[in-house]
Amino acid sequence: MSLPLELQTLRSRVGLVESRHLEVFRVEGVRAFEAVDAAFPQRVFLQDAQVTQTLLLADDATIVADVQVARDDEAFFLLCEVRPGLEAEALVRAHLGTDQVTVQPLAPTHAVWSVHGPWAWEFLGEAVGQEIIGQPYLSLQHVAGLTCFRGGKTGEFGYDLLIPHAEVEPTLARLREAGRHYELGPLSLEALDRAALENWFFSVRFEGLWPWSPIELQLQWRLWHHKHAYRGAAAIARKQAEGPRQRLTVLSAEAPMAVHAPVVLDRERIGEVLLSAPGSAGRGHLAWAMLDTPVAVAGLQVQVGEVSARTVSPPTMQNESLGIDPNKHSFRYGRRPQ
Amino acid sequence: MTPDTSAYLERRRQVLAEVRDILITRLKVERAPEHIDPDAYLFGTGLGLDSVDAVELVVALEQRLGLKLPEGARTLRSLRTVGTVIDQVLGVGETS
Repeated sequence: MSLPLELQTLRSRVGLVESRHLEVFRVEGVRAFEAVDAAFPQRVFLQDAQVTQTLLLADDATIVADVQVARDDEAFFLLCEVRPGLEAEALVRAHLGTDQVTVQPLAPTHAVWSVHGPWAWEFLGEAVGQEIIGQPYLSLQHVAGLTCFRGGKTGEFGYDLLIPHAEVEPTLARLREAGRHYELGPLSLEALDRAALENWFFSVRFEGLWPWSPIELQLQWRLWHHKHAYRGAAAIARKQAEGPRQRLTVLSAEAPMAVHAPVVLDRERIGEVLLSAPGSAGRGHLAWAMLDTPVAVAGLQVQVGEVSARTVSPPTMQNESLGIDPNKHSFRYGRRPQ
Repeated sequence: MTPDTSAYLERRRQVLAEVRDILITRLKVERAPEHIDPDAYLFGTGLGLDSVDAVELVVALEQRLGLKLPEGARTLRSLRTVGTVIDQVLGVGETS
């Protein structure tokens, strides 16, 4: 299936993907909280079944992994997407930095399949269990022999299903059977990453490859500033004291903007394009640029090479999921939002 | 930089400072102002606000800045990030 068709599936119906890019670990032991707390820059003092989004950093505060931390009773699940070329288990063990906990990679025993789209909640409610319909954002629950994490980085409803290998085929059969009523389509990692970009979610396979920290990438919400012992904390503190010299900003234009093209405001160079893509639903073009902080704001008319562009506040699209009320709406029964 | 650009940047900086202050003092976001990124998500992920907070944010902004935001600006669709809130105040929004 082509990328535009996959994005259409993801933005208007339901898509299914095997998430091999998502490596899951379970951390257990009497010092599990202390180990996880020391590794991550985010608060991980979570209630049971609560999930938070954070990062793993290198010493220079560049990002090496995009991680969701989920508390499951006294243990933790770590859902990791690591920078290409790095090895997840070694990275997790190095950051946890203790032999007083057990770190169990779940790939040998489980697979992860993910469901994304504005109607993912209704589809999974039918295929897996009605409990999923009411599952809060950023939470987990054990249902029908699998573990369901609700999160997603596409702006639409998103669920990651951790499934024991023995249950994968029966589960997929249920998903495909129910999927006939929801025009279920396949998704690729490329589609997930594009959707994440469109919706101003971090992707370790795009922004994670750049030499910037969460400060320049506007990811400070994934840090907790009362923590100072995690790897990269010294570099974060130094950068925060200095203030960012540049900040990631989104540009919108009618024509494509070239990667590495200079961004010019009132005849002054203010930054450079890092990434360029067609706009959502094929409308216009977008670019992600690192701009000098004083002018890294929306609402400016700029020049990108020969192209006239405008800085904009992300996200640049309105997700269908925002208008859906599971108490009123249904894909299967034709009750769509107006 | 032209005077118009400078004036716009100064106006945007002022509104950002107001939004950050409301988030911290009224909505109890436990962060220093400079640790609230200009394009941070407000709800769910990001700063973790809820729909009740959205109402309070709009009311506080209108009181402080002496303006009335249009009805369409009061929905979660328009108030997704710190930046989109500022866009609503300054009338420069762009979404598809």
